[in-house]
Amino acid sequence: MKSMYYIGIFLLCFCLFSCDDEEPMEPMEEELITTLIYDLEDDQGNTVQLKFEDLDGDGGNDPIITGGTFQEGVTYTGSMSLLNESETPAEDITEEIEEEDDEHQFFFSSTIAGTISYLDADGNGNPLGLSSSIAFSETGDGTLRVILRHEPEKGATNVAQGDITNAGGETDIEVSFPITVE
Amino acid sequence: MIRLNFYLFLIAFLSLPFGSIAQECNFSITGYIEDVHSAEGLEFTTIFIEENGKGVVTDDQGAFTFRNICRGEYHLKVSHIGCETRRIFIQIKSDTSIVVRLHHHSELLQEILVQDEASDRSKTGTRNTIDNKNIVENADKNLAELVTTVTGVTSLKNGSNISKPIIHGLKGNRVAVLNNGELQAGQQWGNDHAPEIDPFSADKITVIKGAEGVRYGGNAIGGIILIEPGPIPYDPHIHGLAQYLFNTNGRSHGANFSLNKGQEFFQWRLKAGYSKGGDLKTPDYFLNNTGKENAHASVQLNRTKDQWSHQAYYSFYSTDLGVLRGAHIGNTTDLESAISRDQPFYTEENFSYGLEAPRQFVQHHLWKIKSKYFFSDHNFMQLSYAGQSNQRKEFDVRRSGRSDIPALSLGLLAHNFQLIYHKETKKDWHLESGLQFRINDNENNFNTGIFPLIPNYESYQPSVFFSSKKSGAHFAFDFGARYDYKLLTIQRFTKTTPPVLEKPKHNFHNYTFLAGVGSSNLKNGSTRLQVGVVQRSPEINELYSEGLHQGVASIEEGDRTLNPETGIKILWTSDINIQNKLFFEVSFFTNPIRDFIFLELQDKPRLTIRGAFPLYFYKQANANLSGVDFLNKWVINSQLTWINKFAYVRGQNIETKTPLIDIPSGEFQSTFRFEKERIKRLQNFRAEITGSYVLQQNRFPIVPFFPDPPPGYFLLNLNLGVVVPIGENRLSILLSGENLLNQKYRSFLNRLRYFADEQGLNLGLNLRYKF
Repeated sequence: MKSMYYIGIFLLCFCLFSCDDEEPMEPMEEELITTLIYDLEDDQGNTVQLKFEDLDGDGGNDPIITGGTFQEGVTYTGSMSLLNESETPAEDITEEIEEEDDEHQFFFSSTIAGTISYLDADGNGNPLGLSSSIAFSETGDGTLRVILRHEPEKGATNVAQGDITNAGGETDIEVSFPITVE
Repeated sequence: MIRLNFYLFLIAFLSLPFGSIAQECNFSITGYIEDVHSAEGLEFTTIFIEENGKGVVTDDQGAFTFRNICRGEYHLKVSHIGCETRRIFIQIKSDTSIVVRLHHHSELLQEILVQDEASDRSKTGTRNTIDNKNIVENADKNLAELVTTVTGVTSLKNGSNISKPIIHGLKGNRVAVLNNGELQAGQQWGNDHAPEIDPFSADKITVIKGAEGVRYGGNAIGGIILIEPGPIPYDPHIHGLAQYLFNTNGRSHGANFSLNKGQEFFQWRLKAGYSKGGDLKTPDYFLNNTGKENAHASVQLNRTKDQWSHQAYYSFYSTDLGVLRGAHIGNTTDLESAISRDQPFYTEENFSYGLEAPRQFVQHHLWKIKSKYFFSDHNFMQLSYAGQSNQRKEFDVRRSGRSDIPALSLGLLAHNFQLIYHKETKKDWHLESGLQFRINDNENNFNTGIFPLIPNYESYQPSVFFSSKKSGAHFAFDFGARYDYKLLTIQRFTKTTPPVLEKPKHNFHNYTFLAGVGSSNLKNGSTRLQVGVVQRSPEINELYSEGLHQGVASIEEGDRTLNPETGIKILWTSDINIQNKLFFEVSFFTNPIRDFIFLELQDKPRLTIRGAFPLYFYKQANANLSGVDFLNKWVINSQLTWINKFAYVRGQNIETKTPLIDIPSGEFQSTFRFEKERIKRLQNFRAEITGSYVLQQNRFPIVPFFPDPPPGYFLLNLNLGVVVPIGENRLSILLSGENLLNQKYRSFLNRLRYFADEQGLNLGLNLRYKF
């Protein structure tokens, strides 16, 4: 009697187990940002495009980073666009940032002296950085670093001035572009 | 004459409902109360018969006698200073003799030579037991915190709510946790994944420091933790316990209850509990999002009939816990800015019970049926089936409202079939052999929107083992061997565009051996030597993990060509007992591991759009762990006890000549305990003060971005306990103070040490009513 009971359970478990032979679903990387494009333009219509592209996400192939050349003393107006190009058609992540503008802020820093300022703000009047302006005050080769923070403390000291020190939050993007200022 | 008849009638009438109690009152109950540790009689033990109010105290041999006891059913209450009071049910039909064993020195090693000790136990091993009293007194602690009371056992924490036990420097995949004889089937590979068990469901917890993997399997190179529901005492009335717990730090409230009833052929026990707490506090600030909510329940049914004994068991565990908000970071820049702060980011002024991302929600079910057939008193066959289901969801801070979608969602279903044959020969050899078949099926929920950290897999593991032991009054031998075959089938998507499904397979053959000798003189102590060889095949994370680990901002990649590692653990333990006044216990161990699997930092960081991350690959090298555990207990007089403990372990990668990661530093602990059996109506008064000093860890692998280990620290804890008898029942009150000096410190074995201080002062109240 007892043995029948056990055999029953054995069979039941094996059935449960063998029935469960589904193929796993293909994972969808939803929050992936593959591409950052920073388009800059001066008032003469001259353009510079800085681009970071890593189509297969973390790991795999190395990212492709495209730098640019700027003119000293010229003010450039910049606009940022973020894409997930692993999907077809490419997903525009910029919209997600715009929708949650109070939870995001870009920070800029450069090894070449200059002025970088915000041209936009979130609903609370704090800077966002999808739109910005840059003017370099010396020449040379260096790097321009762009950071996007998620849930920074925008009210913390100097954060509204673009100083990242007290910002906190998680880094969603941190890329460095090689630049030349002539 | 009539009158006399009337009286006789009245007496007969009155005595009818009480059966034949009034007729035979010339029985005796004799007995002997023994200390489990020394097997010596316990003097001054009080035995009290609840039904008739008679009480006696044991003599210097531990013996007692009640005379002129009537036929009937009685509850005996056995109490001794420092022991949990025991209630024993007996039926008196004739002169009756009983032996009661009390665990009078719970700090000390479990004595090896108690003759009727469960026969599946190795008697050459080094094992410590945490008994029911300790479990209930610490019911608001998690499993890892509870086992750290054992010398040589520490825990790796991930903030305040998650801790994993470390035995002699090893943890996770290398420590086997068994719940009711079943290898815990959870996500043990994660450093931030705690064992999914509530200690309250256990009757006792045993820590085995040796590599005794023959019987249990489960990669136990470092050691084993057994969580056991325990026998249900024979008592045909419902008894149980209700408990309330409160802690000031985190403002947590908890309640537990347990009910049991034990008839001759059928026994049951029911346990359940719930607790909820909010943000914990360091001496200076609240730790934002560190609340937790726990629930657990278990049912145990035992049935014995003729040669059969059956057990059915089910347990459920659920936890929802928060991880410090300020410890959720994006990359190494975030890490550096978090490290440079005094207070973590997102620290709030106000206390909250709220739980938000990052958090973990874990549920675990275990169900088991076990049948034993006894051919004779000591020869039996045991067949069992157990299943486990483990659901883990981890939530991260994400964009666009995705924080409510788990970033990691894993479901594990495990089955284990087991057949054991146990035999005792005439020459006192205990022989045991068994077959096991274990199946694990681990699946990702692919709706997370994140590439899974580990792939889907199934594993099939048939095993066979044999063990033999012989023990006499002054010696014990032990030998065992085990073979495991493991087939691991993987289903994973490549990280290419588009992803391709691949199904690699792995085969592993693992051998385990155990040999031990023990020699003992009950009066003076014993010495034991045990050698265990355990092979451990690489786990899923070591073969296939692929991705970013949030809290530590590093990328870890598995290596599918890894081979099993082989650990040899040599453990020597001696204990000395000087006239039951002064006890010494010392253990030395060395644990060389060939092809030790570890994470190796790569020179070139990995560049991603979120910045550069340190990159780790799983590698193999020969390693060694060695160390010492020391315990000394001095019974100064009948009221005062002084206990000292020290543990040290050293872990080294022999090939690179560098220290291993996450190895505990040395720790000293000293406890003074004052006990008084009676203060007026109050019983078992206890005051206990414990100071512990944890040294700074000077041996650690150097990792860029990360600061050196924090300095050593001193903590002071206090416990005050008393028992208030209420009729036949007892109310135990325990007040505890942890980190009494409100010391501000950080622990090397807390993975969130870069972000925040440890908890400050906590006062706890623990009320339990036993009925």
